[in-house]
This record gives sequence, structure tokens and C-alpha cells, in this order.
Amino acid sequence: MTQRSDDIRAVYELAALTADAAELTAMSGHFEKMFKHLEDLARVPVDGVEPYFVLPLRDLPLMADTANASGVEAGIRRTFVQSAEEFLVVQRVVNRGAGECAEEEE
Amino acid sequence: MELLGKKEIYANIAAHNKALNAYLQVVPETAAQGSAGPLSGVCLGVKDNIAVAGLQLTCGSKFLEGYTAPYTATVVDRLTVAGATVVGKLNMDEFAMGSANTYSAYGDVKNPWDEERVPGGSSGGSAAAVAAKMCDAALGSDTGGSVRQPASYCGLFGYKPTYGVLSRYGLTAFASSLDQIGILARHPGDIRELMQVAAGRDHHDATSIEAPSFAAQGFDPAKIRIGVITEYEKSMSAAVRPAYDRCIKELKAAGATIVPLSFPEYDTVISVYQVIATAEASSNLSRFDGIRYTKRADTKGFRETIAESRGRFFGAEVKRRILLGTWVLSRAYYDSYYLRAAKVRTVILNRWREFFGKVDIVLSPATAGIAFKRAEQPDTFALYLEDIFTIPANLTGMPAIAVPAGTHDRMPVGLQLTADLSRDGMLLDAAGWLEKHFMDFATIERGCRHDTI
Repeated sequence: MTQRSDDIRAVYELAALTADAAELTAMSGHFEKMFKHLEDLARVPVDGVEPYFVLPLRDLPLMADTANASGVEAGIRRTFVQSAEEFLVVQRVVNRGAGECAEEEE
Repeated sequence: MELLGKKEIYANIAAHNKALNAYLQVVPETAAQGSAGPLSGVCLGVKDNIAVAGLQLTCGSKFLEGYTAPYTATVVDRLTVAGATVVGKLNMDEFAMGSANTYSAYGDVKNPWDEERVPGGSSGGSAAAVAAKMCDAALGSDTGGSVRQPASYCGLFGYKPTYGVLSRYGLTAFASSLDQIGILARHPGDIRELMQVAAGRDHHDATSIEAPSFAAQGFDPAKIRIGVITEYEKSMSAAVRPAYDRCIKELKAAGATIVPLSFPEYDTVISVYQVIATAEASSNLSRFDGIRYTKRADTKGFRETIAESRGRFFGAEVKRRILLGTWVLSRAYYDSYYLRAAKVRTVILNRWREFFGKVDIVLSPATAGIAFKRAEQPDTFALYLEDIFTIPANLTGMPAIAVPAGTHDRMPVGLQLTADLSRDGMLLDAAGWLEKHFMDFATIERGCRHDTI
């Protein structure tokens, strides 16, 4: 079993996929070839280059339109039952018997 | 638009669909009623990864067998409100991953020019349906060339707009930073008419943008600088080269200035695409888990049910891509693959911006060769290389159109025009000029066997 075969098994698990042994073997060959091909990425000099994650020269005005211009965000905040700080606090749940409750109330 | 008429279209579907396997679902003729509007009478085929309420949405996958779309994609909505009629849902490579339409869970699509050959992919059903006159035009999706490559293999115009010009709302996501809905048609004028209605911002898609002008401006080659990429010559087959050379000659004769361009990163586009598209796909396709709206393989345990469902109902090519995407996003591989590919993508974008400082349009082949026979299909890896000319437009977001440019061995050859961001109108003007002055459309029409039956 090569290191890459072990990697493939781990990646299958990460990707939430099942596979039988024959499929793992077939994939092993494919990925050997694929990663060899991907080595050509190293040929392009990228020092000082910013990664391209979003399209440049664009803003996302629609989010602003919805959240601000139309006042939706303010509306949400106004009707919010808890403060933002409280919202993230998970209330501790304590199990008690009926008798214990009654005692506390007293 | 030159409309075929509903009767002729349904007659063609009845005559050819069984052989071509283009439509996965056909709307009954009596139910296909369009409203009044500028597109009244237009019969539209829709790729089966674009939602139309009440119709199936399988994405060519067993996973979504029997699934019905609960809402309609914005693009379809705008077209039908303007009078177009949806005729049916079109076959495709599973989740739009493929270049030959041999990865559909519902069978291969055949090329109407020669049924032994592939129609291209992943919008192979869309291309076959338009070429065989089973609709007036079809919607496809283009993540790495999936509209332009099949259009080229089937002798059609295949247009991918500037990223954001058509809303992606209702398009099943494959790789969100690359995906665009596109149009396949027999004439660029038809594409223009559909775009005038469908394009523009949509509050359901935050990446959508204002539509550029699609009004015909006229096209004078004498005022145009055409870029040709010298490195591309290495990747062109003998089948495509004569059409490419002839087109350059015709444009030159009409007064166009031809400018040689250098694209030293051209052969890395496949790697950049493979890393970015699969990384995004691994995330987007995580929603198909057998729990929500897909088929389920019932086993004991929650995690086991998800893994077994995905393992059983995804096809091999989809799994290959999900696995690669998961791999390149993993901690040990992220920097050297995903991050690096994202940086090379910037280099490629900067290169193409530089091009459009020097030229108005870049001319290239749409595909390296003509449609191949299914029996001679190259291996998976070689198939990826088919998209070398089409991928740059997806990586940069720029508009591009495949243009039929004659035939080789009785099969269509396609060229491609690419323009700067939002210069879609000019691109369609140029395609219109080529249709009129360069393309032997009569040959194209006669060549498609299913056209003439």
C-alpha cells in the first residue's frame, strides 16, 4: 500500500464517500497522474501575486441594498429579543425533579 | 428570431429524440403554451441543471432521479415571462462534469451529425437538440467550456456571457466562481434577442451585474484589432487549423489588424481549472447527502447513510472531482495547490487584461479538434485537455462565443471569439459579421443529418 493509497482512503472519508477496494485502486492511478500534471502550477512565478478569490472590479451592492438601504438590518435589530451578546450564550439546562422545583419556588 | 414553429419542433422531437437521447423530459405539446411577448413562439430547451418549477431537475445524476424543481431559475423566468415556451429538460454530463456527454446517468447523447460521435459536453443535450431542430435555442451552463465546446462539435453558436450578466439563481452550483448560464443557438441574432430579455441584475444572485448593451452596433473589421495567441498553434489539430487560418485571412482582407499575442501560461489553465473547479465542487456538492432531497441508501447510522448514499449514487467522474477538491483543500495541500492555483488565476487574468489593452477580440479555436467517436473516447485525463481553449474565459469571467467555421471530415469545426468584460454586445456583433461574411452556413445546415430528415 503506497502512501498515496492511504491518502486516498483518508480523502474518501473527508469527502463522505464510501468505496470498495477496486475503486480505491482505480482512483489511485488517476490521482498519481493528476498530481503529476498539477506540478506545472509551480512553473508560474507568483511571488507578490494576490490570490484570485473573488472577481475584482465588482462590489456586491445587493447585500448593501438589502441590509442597509431598505432598512432590513435595522428592522432585524429593532425586533431582536436578545442583545447580540446574549444571543451567543447557550443557556445551561439543569435537570431537576418536580419536587426539587417546588422546593426552589418555595 | 427565425422560429421553427411548435408543430415542427414537436415533430422533430418525435422523430429524433429516441436516437439522440437529447431530452430527458418533454413537456406535452398541449401544455407548452407561451404567453404574449417579444419572445412569443420561441421554443426553448433547458439543460437539466437549471430549475423550472414543476419539471424534473436531475443534473444527469441518479442521485436526483425523480426530483422536481420547486421554483424557476431567474433566466428561465425572464424568458418565459417574455413569451418563450419551455419544451423540455435536456440531457447533460452528471452535475455538468464532462466534455463528451458520456457521463450522464441517463445514457449518452449522440451527435446529430454522426450518431457514432459525441456531441460534446457537458451541455451535450442542449447542443444536439438545437442542431437537430428540436428547439429554437437552448440554455446550457458553462464552467470550463460546457456551452462552447458542444456548440462547436454540433455546428452552432455557443455563448458564455461575462460572469454575472446572467443570474445563476436556479442553476445547480458546480463551481460558483466559474459557472455561467449560456445560450446555444443557430444564429447569433437569436442569442442577442434572448439576452436582451434575460440579462441583468437579480436580487437572488449577489454576483449578478447590470446588463451591458446588447443592441446591434454594427461591426466594421477595419476598426478592429484581432489578437491571435501564438502558443495556441501547438495545440491545434490539422482538423481545425485550416478554418482558423482562413478566418484570419478573411478578417485581414476585410481590413482587420491582426496582432500576435503571447500567453506563456496557456498550458497551466487546465491545472488551475482542475484545482479551483474541484475545490468549489467539493463544497457545493456536499449538499447532496441522501438526507434532504436526494435518493438515500439506508444503512445504520447517520454518517454511514450519507457516505453510502454519496458513494452509491454519484458517478465515477463526479467522485473523482469531489475527491480532488477535498484533497487540494486539505491542510497539507492547500498552500501548494489551492492557494497557488488562485494566484496563477490572477496571473492569467492580468495577462488577458493586458491583451485587451492591445486588441478588441481574441480569436482562437473553440476546440482542439472535431467531435470524436464514442468508441475512440480518450481517457479521462486526456478529456480534461479538451477544454484548453475555453477555460481562460471562465477563469477571467470574460465573455466568449463559439462560432461554426466550416467542416472537416463532414463534421463541424468551431472557432472562438473572446472579448473584454462586459463587451458582450460587440462580441455578438463580431459573431454576426462572421456568420454573414465567413461561414458557409449552407454547408453547416446540410451536414446535420437530423436537420434534413
